[in-house]
Amino acid sequence: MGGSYIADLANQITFLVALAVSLNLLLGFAGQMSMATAAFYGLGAYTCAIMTAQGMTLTGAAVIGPGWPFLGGLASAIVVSFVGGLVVAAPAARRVRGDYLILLTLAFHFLVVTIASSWVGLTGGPNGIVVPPIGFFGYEINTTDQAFWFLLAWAAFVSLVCWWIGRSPFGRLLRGIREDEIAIQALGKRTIAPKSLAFAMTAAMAGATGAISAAYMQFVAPTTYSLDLAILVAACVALGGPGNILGSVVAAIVIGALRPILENVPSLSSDSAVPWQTVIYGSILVAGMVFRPRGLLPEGLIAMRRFPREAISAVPRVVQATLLKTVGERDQPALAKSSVPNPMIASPIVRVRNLSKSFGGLQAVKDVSFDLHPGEIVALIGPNGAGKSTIFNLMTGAIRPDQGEVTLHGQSLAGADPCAVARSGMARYFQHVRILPGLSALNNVAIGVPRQAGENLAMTFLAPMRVARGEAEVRAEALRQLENVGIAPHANRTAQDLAFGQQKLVAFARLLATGAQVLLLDEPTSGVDPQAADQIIALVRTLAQSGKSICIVEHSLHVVSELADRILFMNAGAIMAEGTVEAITTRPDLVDLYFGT
Amino acid sequence: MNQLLQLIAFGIVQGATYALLAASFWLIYATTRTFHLAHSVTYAVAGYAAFVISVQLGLSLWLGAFASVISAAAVGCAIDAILYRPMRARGASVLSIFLASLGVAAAGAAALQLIFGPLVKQVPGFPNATLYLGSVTVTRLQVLTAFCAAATIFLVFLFITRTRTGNAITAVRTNPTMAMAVGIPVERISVLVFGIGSAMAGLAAFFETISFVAYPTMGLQPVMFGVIGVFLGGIGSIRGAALGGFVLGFLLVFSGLFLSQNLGVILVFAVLLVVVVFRPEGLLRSPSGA
Amino acid sequence: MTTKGKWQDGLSRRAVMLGTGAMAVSASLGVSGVARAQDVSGPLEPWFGKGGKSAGAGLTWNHGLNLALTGTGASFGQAMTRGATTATDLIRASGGPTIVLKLNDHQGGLVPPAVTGVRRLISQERIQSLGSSYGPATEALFPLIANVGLTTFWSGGAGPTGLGKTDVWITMALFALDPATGGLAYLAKRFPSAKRLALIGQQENGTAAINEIAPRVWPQVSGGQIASTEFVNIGTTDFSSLIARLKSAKADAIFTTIYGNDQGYFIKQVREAGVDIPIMSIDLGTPTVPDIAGSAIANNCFLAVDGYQPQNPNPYNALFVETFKAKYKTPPDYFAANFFEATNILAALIGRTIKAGKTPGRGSVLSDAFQAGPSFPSVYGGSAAAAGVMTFNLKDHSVTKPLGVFQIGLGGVLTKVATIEKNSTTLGPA
Repeated sequence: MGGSYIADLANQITFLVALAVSLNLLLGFAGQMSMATAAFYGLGAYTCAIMTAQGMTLTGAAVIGPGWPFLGGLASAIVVSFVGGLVVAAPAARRVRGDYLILLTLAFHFLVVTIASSWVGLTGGPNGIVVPPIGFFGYEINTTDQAFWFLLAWAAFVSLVCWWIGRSPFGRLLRGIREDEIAIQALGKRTIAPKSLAFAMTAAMAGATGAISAAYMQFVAPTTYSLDLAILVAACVALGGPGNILGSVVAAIVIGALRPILENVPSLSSDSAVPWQTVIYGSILVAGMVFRPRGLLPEGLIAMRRFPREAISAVPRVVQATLLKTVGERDQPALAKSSVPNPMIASPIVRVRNLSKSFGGLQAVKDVSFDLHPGEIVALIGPNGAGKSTIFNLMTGAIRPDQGEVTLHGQSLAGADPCAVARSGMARYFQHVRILPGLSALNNVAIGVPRQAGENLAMTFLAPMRVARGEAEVRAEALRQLENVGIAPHANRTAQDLAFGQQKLVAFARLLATGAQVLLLDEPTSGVDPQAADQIIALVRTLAQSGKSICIVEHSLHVVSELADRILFMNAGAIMAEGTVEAITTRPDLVDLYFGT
Repeated sequence: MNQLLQLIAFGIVQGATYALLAASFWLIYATTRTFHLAHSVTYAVAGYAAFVISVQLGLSLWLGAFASVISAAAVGCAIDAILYRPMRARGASVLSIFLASLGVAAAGAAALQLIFGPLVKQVPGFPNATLYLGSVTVTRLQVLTAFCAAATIFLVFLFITRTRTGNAITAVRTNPTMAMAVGIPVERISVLVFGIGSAMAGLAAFFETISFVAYPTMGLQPVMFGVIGVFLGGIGSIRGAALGGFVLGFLLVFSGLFLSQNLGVILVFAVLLVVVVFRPEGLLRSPSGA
Repeated sequence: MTTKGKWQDGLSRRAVMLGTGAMAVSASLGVSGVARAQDVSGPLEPWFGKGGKSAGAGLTWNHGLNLALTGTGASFGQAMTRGATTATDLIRASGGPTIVLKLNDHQGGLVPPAVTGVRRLISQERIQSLGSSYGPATEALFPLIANVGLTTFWSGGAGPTGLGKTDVWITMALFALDPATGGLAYLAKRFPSAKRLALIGQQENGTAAINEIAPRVWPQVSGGQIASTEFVNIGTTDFSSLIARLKSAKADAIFTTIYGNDQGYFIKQVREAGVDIPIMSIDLGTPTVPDIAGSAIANNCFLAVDGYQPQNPNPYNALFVETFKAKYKTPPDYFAANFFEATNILAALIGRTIKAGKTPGRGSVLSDAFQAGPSFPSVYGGSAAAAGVMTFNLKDHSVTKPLGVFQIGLGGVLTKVATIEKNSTTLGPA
C-alpha cells in the first residue's frame, strides 16, 4: 500500500485508539483485568487473513481459505472473536477473578500466539499470510491517505459505541459489577451475562480492528500480536482513566505518537530510539500509576456536570418536606404502631420452615421456623453467634440450607440464588452496606431499579428512544428514593466521598428502589449517628405502614423496641422465644443471655 | 527406556531451576500481593552484575555470584521501597500496581540495553564437564544449579517455618490487618521478602549467565515461568509454589516423551488454563501454613 | 597508506583476469575503458572501474536499511550497518555517489515497525533504494515496495518468498535451501558410516530444507534414512526435551536450520549432553552464537552456507576486511559482508544507469540496470588473485554465489572444507 508516512502514523494510532476504548469497556467499566487484547486482535486478524487470502501462501502452498472479499473476512473476524470472547468469559465471568484473571488471559494469549506460530498449514507459521487490501464493493483502498478516513471513521465508531454503552444503563450495571458483584446480585441483577457480554463485545471490537489492520498492513505474522501490545493497550486505558472513554482516546493518541516523535528526533540514532522510547513509556506508566492512579481523565469527570444544576438546587425543598414528615412521625410512635394490620388475620407472605444449617461440626441454625406477614416488622435478636445473619443468608439463597425451606408468596425458594430471590421480591440490606463506592449516590440507587430496558445491551442500540425514556424514569425514581431518605442534595456525589451514615441511607434508598415486598435488614442503624438512626427508624416504620414485610436483625434494643411488632429471640441457632417487645424484655433469663451476664 | 531416564534427569534439573524461580516469585507475591513482573529487571541486573564483576573487573566467579545475589536483593528492595510502598499507602488497585510493575520491567530492560548495548555478554570460566550415568548425561553445572536451587528453597522453607521472622512473614501473608494489629512491622516484612525473593532470583540469574549469557530481556521468560509455577502449584505455601515450578519445568521437558518441543509449550499453557479454571487453588491445596 | 599497494595489486590482477577472460565481472564494467577527464581512481576501481561524474560522483543517494537494531537480533543489525557503511566510505573514496544510509529498526523482525518505518524512510528520508533483513519483516514490505517501485536488496534471512518480485533482488544464498543439498552430500562423504540423520527445523524460511530437500537427498547421498524430524519454536533456549528425543533416535548426524541465538543454546546443550555426532547447520549468527555456545561450537560442527571468511585472500575481500578493521577494530562477519556487497552493487547500478543516459531513482530504472550484466564481484570465493563472483538470475532475482562447507572453530572462525554448488551434490575442493 502506498501513501504518506504521516497518514500511516495516524492510521497506526487509530488502531491503538480502537483497541484502547474497547478494552476500557471490559477493564474500566466491568473491572475485568484482561491481558488478552493482543490475542483477540490477532484472532480477528488471522480469521480475516485466512478467509480472504488468495493465490499462494508465502511458503508456496495454495491457500486453504475461501478467498472471500474483505467484508466477508471482517464479518467472520467479528463472529470468531465474539465467540472467542465468550469462551474466555465462560470461566472468567463465573469464578476467575483478580490476579487469576490476569493469568488466565495471559495463558490464553500465549496459547493463541503459539498456535499461530506452530500451525503452519493454517496460519503460515512465523512467516505469516499475505492479505488482500481493504475493499468494499469493488472499491479498493490502496494508499494510507485513503485508508486514513476509513480508519478514523472506524476508531470514531468504536469509541462512540463504547461511549454509548458506557453511559447506558448497561454500562452502569457493568460498573456496579466492578464495584461489588455480590451487592448487584442481591439487587436481583444477573451478573454473568453482562460480564460475558462485555468480554465478547471487547473481543469482537478488538477482532474487527485486527481484521482491518491485517487488510491495511496486507500482512499478518505472529510477532505483531505480542504481549507488549496487550500491555500497551492496558497502559492506555489505565493512564487515560479506566471508565472514561475520552481518557483512553487521549492516552492512545499521546502514547501512540511517542515513537514517531522520538524516531524523528535527529540527535537520536535509530538503534537507541526504541530503547529510549521504552524507557520513557515505562516511566510514564510508573509515574501515571503512582501519581494519578485513576488516570488522566478519571471516571465521572464529565458525568459530574451532566446533571443540571437547577435539579440539584430544587431538591432541598422536597427534602425539607420529607424530613418534616419523618420527624413528625417520630413523635407519634403509638399512632404508627396502631396502624399496622393485625398479623394474625393477614396470611403470611414469607414462611420459613424447619431451616437447619451446620458448618463442619457447628450447628449454626437449628430447625428454625417463622412467618412474616404484610406490614409486619419482625426483629431477630440474640447474642453474637446466635445465627441471625446465617438465617438471612439462608433466606436469600446466599447459602443452601441442609434442611427446611423458605416460601415467598407461597412459592418455594429452594435452589434459588440471591439474584432469583431478590427478583421474586425479597431483598436484603447488608450490615456492611455494600455501597458501590465509585458510583454516584444517584447511580447507586438507580442500579436498584428492576426491569430496566437499558440493561439489555441490544435494546441500547435497537431502541435508543425507549431506553432513554426508561432511563429518565429510572433517574426520577432514584431521585425520589433519595428524597425519601433525605439525601437528595448529595445525589451526584461519589458514594465513597459520603459519610458512613449517608452511605447507609443511600443503600437504603437502593433497597427501596428494588420495589421488593419483603425487606431483610441487617443492622440498619449500626455505626450511624443518632440523628441518622432516627431517620432510618422512621423510614422503616413508614415502609411497614405501606404494607411491606420487614425482618430486621438488630443489636440496639432501642431500635427494636421502637420498631418491632414481634421479636424472635435466638440463641445457639434456635429460636428460644417469640413475642412482643414487652414479653421478651421482661423475661430475665433472656435478658441475662442477651447481655451475657 | 534411556529416553525416559534422560527426560527424567533433564526434567529434574530444569524443574529445580523453575522451582527456585517460582518460590522466589511466591515469597514476594503471596506476602505482599504484588504482581511483581518487574522481577525480570532484578533478574537481568543480577546477570549483568556477574558480568561486571567477573569479566569487566576480572574478579573471581565466586565474587560474581555474590554480586548477583546482593545486587538482585538491592534492586528488589529498592523497587518495593520506592515504588510499591507509596502505591500501597495510597490504596492503589491491583491493576495499577501490576501496570506500574510492567512499566519498570519495560523501562529497566531498555535501560540495561542503553548501558550495556544490545549484544549478549558472556561470563566464561566455570570448569564444566559432562557427567555420564550409564547413557544418561548431565553437566556438572546443571547438577550444581539444581543442588543450589533445591538447597535455597529448603533454607527459605526452614526460615519461614522455624524462625520468629518467618512466622511474622506468614502472619502478614495470611492476614496483614491482623498482623499489623499485633504489632508486626508489615512494611519492614515487605522489604524483607522483596530482598530474599530477589536474592533467590539473583542466584538463578547467576547460573543462567555462567551457563549461557546475559542480555537485557533475559528475565522475562524465567519470571513468566515462575509466575506460572506459582499459580500451577498453589499460592498457599512455598511447598506448593516450588512444586508448581518443578512440575512446570518437568512437564516442559517430559512432554518430549510424546510431543515435539513446540507442541510441549502449547501443552503447558493448556494445562495452566485448566488449572486456573478448574482448580484455582493450585495443585497443592494448603490454605494456611508454609 | 598501506592499502595503496593493494589497489595496484588489484589493478594488475584485473588485467590478468581480463586477459584470461574467465570472469564476467568486468564485462559489465566495460564502459570504463574510455578514460575521461574527470575520471577518479579509487580503492574499488579494480572491480567497478574508475569513478567520477559518470559513476555518480557528486550525487547524493539515500539508501534505506530495514534491520534489527534492538532486541535479540541487534547484533545482526549492527554488523549489517557496519558492512554497508564500509561500502559507502569506499564508494565515495572511489568517485562514486555519496550514499547516505537511513536506518529503520524493525525490532527483531516485527511487522508493524518494519512497514511503518520503511514508509517513514520513503516519505521522510526520501530513500531511493532499500536493504532489508529478516523474513516476515521483509516479506511484509513487498506490497509497499511494489507500490513505490523501490529497488530492494534482501541481504539477510532471505527466503524463497522473495523470488520473482519485480523490485526485490536477493543478494545472498536462499536461507537453508541453496546450500542444503551440498551440505548433506558433504556430511555423507565425510562421515561414511553415518546413516541415520536427525532433522531439526524452525518453522520459518528453511522449512523446505527439512520437509523436502533432506528427505529426498539424504538417502541418495548416504544410502541411509531420516531418523527423526523435529521442529522447535523460535526463541527456544532450553532444548533438553529435544535432546532426550535425539539421543533415543540414535542418530549418527544432525542437520538443522536453527539460527540466531537459539543455535548457540542448541549446540551447547547437545554437546554437554555428551552427543558428539556431527552437526551440519546452514546459518551462523555471529557473533552471539559462538559466545553462547562457548567451546561446544568447535566440536564437530559444520556449516553449509555462503560462508564468510575474513581471512579469504580474495583482494576484494582483503580491501573490505582491511577497511572494516581500520574503522571498527574487529574483523567483519557474514552479515557485514552481505551488506557490503549489496551496497557496492547498488553503487554499480547507479553508475550504469547514469552511463546509460538515464536518471537513477525509484521505479524500475535500477532493476533494468541489472540487465547490462548479472555478475558482480563477491567477497566470497575467488582466489588470492581474483575476487569471487556472484551472478544474479534475471528471471527470479536470486543469486548464485560461492557456497562452501565450513568447519566451525572456536569463536566462530570458519575453515573451508569443501566447495559446493546451489542445489547440487557435487563437492569441490576447499
